Amino acid sequence: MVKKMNKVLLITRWEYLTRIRSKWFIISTLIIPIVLTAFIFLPAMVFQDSGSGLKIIGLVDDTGVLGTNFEVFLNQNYRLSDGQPKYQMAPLNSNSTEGALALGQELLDSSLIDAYVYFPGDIFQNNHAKYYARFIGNYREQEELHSAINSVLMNYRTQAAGLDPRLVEELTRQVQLDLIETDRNKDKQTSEVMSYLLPIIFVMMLYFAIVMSSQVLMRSVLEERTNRLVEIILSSVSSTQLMSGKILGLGFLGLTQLSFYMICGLFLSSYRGIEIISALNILYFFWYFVLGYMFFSAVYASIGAIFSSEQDAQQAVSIISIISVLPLLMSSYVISNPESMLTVILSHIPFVSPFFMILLMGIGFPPLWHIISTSVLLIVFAIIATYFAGKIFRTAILMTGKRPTLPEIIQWFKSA
Amino acid sequence: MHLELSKVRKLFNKTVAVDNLNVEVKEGMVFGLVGPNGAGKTTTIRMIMNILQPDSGNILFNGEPIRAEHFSKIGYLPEERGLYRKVKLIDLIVYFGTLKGLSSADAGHIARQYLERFDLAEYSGRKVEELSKGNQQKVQFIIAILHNPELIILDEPFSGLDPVNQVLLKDIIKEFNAAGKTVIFSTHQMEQVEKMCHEVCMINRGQRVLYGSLKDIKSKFGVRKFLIQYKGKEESIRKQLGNNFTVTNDSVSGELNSGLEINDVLQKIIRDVTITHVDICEPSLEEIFIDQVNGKKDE
Repeated sequence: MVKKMNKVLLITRWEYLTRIRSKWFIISTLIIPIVLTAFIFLPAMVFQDSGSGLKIIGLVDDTGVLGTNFEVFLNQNYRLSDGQPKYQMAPLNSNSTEGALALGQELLDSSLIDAYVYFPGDIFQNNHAKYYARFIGNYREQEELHSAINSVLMNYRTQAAGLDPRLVEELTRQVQLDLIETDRNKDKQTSEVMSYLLPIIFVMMLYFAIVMSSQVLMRSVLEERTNRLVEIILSSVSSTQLMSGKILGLGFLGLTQLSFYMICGLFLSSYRGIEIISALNILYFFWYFVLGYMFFSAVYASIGAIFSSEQDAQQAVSIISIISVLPLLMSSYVISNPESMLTVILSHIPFVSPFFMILLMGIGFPPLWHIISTSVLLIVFAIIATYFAGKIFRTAILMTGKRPTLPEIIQWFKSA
Repeated sequence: MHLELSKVRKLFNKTVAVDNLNVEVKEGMVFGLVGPNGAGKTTTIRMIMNILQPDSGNILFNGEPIRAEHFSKIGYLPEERGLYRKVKLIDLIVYFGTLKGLSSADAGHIARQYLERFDLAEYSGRKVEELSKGNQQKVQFIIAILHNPELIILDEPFSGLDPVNQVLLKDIIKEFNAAGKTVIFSTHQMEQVEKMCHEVCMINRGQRVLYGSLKDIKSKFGVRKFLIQYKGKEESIRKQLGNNFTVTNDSVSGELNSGLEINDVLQKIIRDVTITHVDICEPSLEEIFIDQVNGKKDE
């Protein structure tokens, strides 16, 4: 028994060490965190970049009364993180309005100002002001400038009507709507982008760890089968030992990959101050990795043993890959309906179960019964799949030549 | 070491690949498994190696049904050859050595000796894919013998090797045999069998057609031929021997059999002519092989 175990471990070690050194593994492992980091940082960087620096806004004021108040309002309300005013006004003076606007355009074209605003003389009647910028994509600035103009104009009208602007402001104060997500464990404020992105990132991490290591497993079985190396190996170990060793070795490969993702996640968490990865998350991740991998590896090992060419095997695998992407496609539904009947049912289907469960974890921890029921079901399916994989493996691994027909495969189930 | 196949039978989709095969391989023997392509040699070997299961019959190793535990005493070179391509040669050999139960230190030590011997030492740290096909074959042979097995089974070991390496391989097989190891190899190159084997089993279409020691087979199935050169009259020879022989004005040739030995021929003609040269050709295994194969086909 000791000797048998040793051989399984020898195969495990060999499979792990030869794969982990391969360029493809390193590249494919690195590429995910890079892409994901880009996913997380790029939108934030776009927001931050445009919102961070000092903005110089040109001003053409035909009313002659609003401009000063506008500047004061912006100064009072919008500050940079270092306390300096965010907006600086550059009054554009010329003989005519046209001249002033032309000057604004010129300054904008030469990037001396970031935008310019025009208050026409008839603004009190028409309610229209103009904002010129090279790109009008930055929501936050538009929002701020818009509310400044509104506020300034309203104040002016209030005063003109002989009312106390302070009183009016007090009476018409708007209600602030705070967006709070009620997590099962704690109330926390989250950014809307992250609450959608994070679960998807989680699914991708798990998907890559499980499916990639299973694919490597399949290819390794296929390689030994097509070059008949398997005959030499099976003259030293039993097919069960071979299969166990391979599944374990490439499972550790997947674990390595996942651990690497977790470390990246922890790093990002501390860096961005968002809780991406917590200790509980990690436990949950590894749990569903192990369950998912147990099932997937058995299925992929069988496919590797049945088919004799990479193309045939890839065809079979592509069906599984498409099914497994379902949780990603359904992510927005699941995120908005984490407790719906459909979500619960889907999360129990073995090919997608681990991914749905990770998706749910990204929103907040699913109830314990849900974790237990999906785990039990996955374990049952993994045992069944491994049992059949063992039979198929033993019979099919040594077959040569043509692709087996379905009746033959069924025959193997019975005979082995 | 003792290997016995009794009434072994294997079907592939209702085609009989091996039929009722009885073979016994005794310790210290070099045993040749010969037959034309598709005769069932590889299938037989795969059944011995537990890679295929016989449909009926028994394969006994030292009196026990053969199983995985016996394989640490058996070395195997399969007919179809492949290796991991992207790994270092020395790592590969050591890995297979450890799978056979060697410690990695021992495996490394022995591997280096063999690499030296097979002129592959310079490749030790290189990747397997850099080796030529012939060199990969030598590596596979090293893998088969690394753990110093009692029984070595080689499926077509000589195919694909150049003459120099064939000789090297032969020498090592002989060495192993001299050390008391048993060797089974399959081939369709009869001259190799004649040079090396003590016993032979010839199979054709899954059936055993010849079996026994080389000497027995030759005397039983081989047709010995004679050639006598003489000086004298052609007609007197024809008169004495009849028409079963090829007679020219200075030679006579024909086949011998148990009722007609060379002495009988000589006695009949010696009074009429002067014998200048007598030659008896032993039958070659190749001829027996071809006769047997064709004979079966004629049926």
